[in-house]
Amino acid sequence: MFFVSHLLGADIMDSADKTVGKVWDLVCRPNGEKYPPLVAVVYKQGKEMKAFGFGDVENIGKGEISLNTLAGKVAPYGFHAHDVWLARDILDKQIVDLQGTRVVRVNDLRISFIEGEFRILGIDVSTRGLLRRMGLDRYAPFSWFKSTFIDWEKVQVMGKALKLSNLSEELVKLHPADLANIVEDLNPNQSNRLLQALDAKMAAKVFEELEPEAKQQILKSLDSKKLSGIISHIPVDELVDYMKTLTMNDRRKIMSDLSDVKKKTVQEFLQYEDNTAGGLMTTEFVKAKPAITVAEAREHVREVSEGLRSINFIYIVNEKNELLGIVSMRSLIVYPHEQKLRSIMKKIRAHQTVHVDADIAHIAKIMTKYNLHTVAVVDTENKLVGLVTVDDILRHFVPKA
Amino acid sequence: MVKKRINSFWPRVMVFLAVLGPGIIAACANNDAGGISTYSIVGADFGGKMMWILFLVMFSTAVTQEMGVRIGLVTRQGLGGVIREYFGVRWVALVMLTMLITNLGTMTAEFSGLAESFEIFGISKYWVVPLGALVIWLILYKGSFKTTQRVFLLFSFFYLVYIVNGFIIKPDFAAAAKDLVTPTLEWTPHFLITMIALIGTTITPWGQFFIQSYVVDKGLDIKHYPAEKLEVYLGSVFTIVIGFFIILSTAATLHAAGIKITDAKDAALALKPLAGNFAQLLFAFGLFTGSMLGAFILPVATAYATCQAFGWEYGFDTDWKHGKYFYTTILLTIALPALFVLIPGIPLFRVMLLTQSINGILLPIILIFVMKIINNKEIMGNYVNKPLSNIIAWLTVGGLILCTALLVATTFFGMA
Repeated sequence: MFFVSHLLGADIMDSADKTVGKVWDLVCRPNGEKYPPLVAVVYKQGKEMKAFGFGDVENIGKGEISLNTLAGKVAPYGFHAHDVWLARDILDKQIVDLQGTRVVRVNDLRISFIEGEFRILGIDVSTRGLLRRMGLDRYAPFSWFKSTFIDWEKVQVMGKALKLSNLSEELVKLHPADLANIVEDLNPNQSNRLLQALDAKMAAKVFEELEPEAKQQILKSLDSKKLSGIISHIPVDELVDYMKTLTMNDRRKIMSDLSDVKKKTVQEFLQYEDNTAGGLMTTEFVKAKPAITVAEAREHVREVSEGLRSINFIYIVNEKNELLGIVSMRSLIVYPHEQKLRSIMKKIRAHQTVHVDADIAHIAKIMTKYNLHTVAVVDTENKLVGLVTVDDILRHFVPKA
Repeated sequence: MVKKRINSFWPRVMVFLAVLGPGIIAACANNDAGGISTYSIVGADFGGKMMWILFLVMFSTAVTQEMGVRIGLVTRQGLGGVIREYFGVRWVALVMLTMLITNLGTMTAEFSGLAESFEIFGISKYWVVPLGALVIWLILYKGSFKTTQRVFLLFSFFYLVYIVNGFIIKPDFAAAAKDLVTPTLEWTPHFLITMIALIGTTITPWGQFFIQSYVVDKGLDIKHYPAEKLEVYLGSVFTIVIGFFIILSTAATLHAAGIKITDAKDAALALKPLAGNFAQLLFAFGLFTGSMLGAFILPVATAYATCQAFGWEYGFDTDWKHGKYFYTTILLTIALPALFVLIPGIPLFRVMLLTQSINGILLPIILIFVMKIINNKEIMGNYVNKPLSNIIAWLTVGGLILCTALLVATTFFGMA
């Protein structure tokens, strides 16, 4: 098993066994392959940093790199912007372990000869790796520790040039809640970089999952363009919860980013107390008139679907916006096209809804009593204003998850 | 529905403490058991002779703390992490070992302070220390570290009583002012070791880590620099003012009467002008809260720094399997010092002083890395040190090394 720590500081010998210098760093170029190849060796000659391509390397061993040519004939290597220097950019830095969804520090890098090239196989994050770096791993009791590796594919490097284009596919596939945990574990510079690299929609989902303290940090330091992008993707109720934790000054900063319609809703919401139906509810739901047909309703759902997180029911309201009943997605699929919603809706009585001022215990009671996943919220004039879903209630009782 | 208004006293105080910056917090955290005992001994044993050192240390504290804040603002990670990334595993291992030794020492001072504060009421350390260790662990593990930390930080304002006390004594302020600028030295090991302790308790290795992490955890960045800089300077002055009045109080009472401090009862005599017969109670309370403050911060600070540097998972939300190094470090930093303090017959008040000397002796190792980082353009960009900061910081490092060398010389060769 070869490690970068074996090669840093190693002697470079040419084909006539003459010393060229000592290895300063190794360069790899991530090219989309599973295991990126090493492309160059950096060494210092006096004060000058020089490099040659890996094509000149005959073999590598512990403490030595031998060349297949004479010292004077090595091909100088031209540095490239996408180059990753292993010691400078990866070793000792924090990276994201995508399998364990955690942030770890790189203790060592494992190198192997695959398909005719020396390639990076994985990252050593174990105590054994630490000991190897200190030159202690050969001696008992240190040699009892085992190395553990993370495959290069399952790693996201957090370099300065992190962009959407070089985010690992595995990273983008993570659940927003896991990504949020990672963002919290990274240092603020890195977490900014990561959010910056994600697209606005994903970034918004991650942002929602962050702890309040982390959200504040992000607000303070993320650039305003990205921040307004994120904010435009956050549902009003989540946004309001977040804004309630902010100072007036910070609130104004966010308000100025919102569209006029959204601004008005946000202002309305800000008046509701936390832990009441008004404070917990979402305003994102599908409404329809009782007179429309199943086919029309399906079409309507298709149209609004893009902008909504989830749709479980259609809420049937009259001209005065009073709630009459609900139609489930299941009914919408099961019943024939021409059937009117009025005839298939499940009637909702006043006692199965909650008032905007209802407290969380009352909401939970109603939901438990009538076995509801979502409960409709009405105002003093009995008009439908929003919904509280079961996960909002759960979050209240289990805040740290 | 019920409108929850924050109108009670405690939440408001908490909010107030939450907005306090790192400078003031670090200054408060300085008034731990090691600090109060060292300042007391300095005054009791040497009167005003070390005032000039305290005066110089004010500048060193201001400069070193400011550098810690600046590195935190620019790199936005803890000192251990920065050293790891730019100097590699070997150097960070050295620095972490240094920190571990000094933190174990300081933790010993905290437990000594805890034991001493109850000893005043005749309660044995064999009860107090194990119970204290258990309570600390339980609160850290089950409770809220941040809230507890803030409560004890609040109590640390207690040391303002020394300022009141200082005025009641009606000391000769002119003489004290003269002491501040008149260098006096004694070529004895006792003087030198106390002097190193005085420096090492004011600029501590753990304080250097603490202030930088605090900046990072609060999410501050470089645009807060001007405000934070001012605040750090204020904090340093505050630290020194408290130290000044403790030394003044013990000098005017204990030193004048020729009393050497052997336990907390003696040290409490310094507060007699203010509190009369309540002096012991007052001092015990102060020593207790100071000890607990340090005892809460240190284990967590040690574990955070170590885990960050070595890339181990940390935080109280990790489980035991993943956070084994984190929890082990915390448990050891509580258990080892507690056991040490339980050794029968050891002079606890002197132990407190000794631990602070160790801080002072090892501090240069930490400061040299701080200096290398802060002068590295690659890391700090435009925020590298100005010459004045460099001069003051290197003089601090040099001064400490010189003191340590003199201490060794006087101890082994009897240079006096």
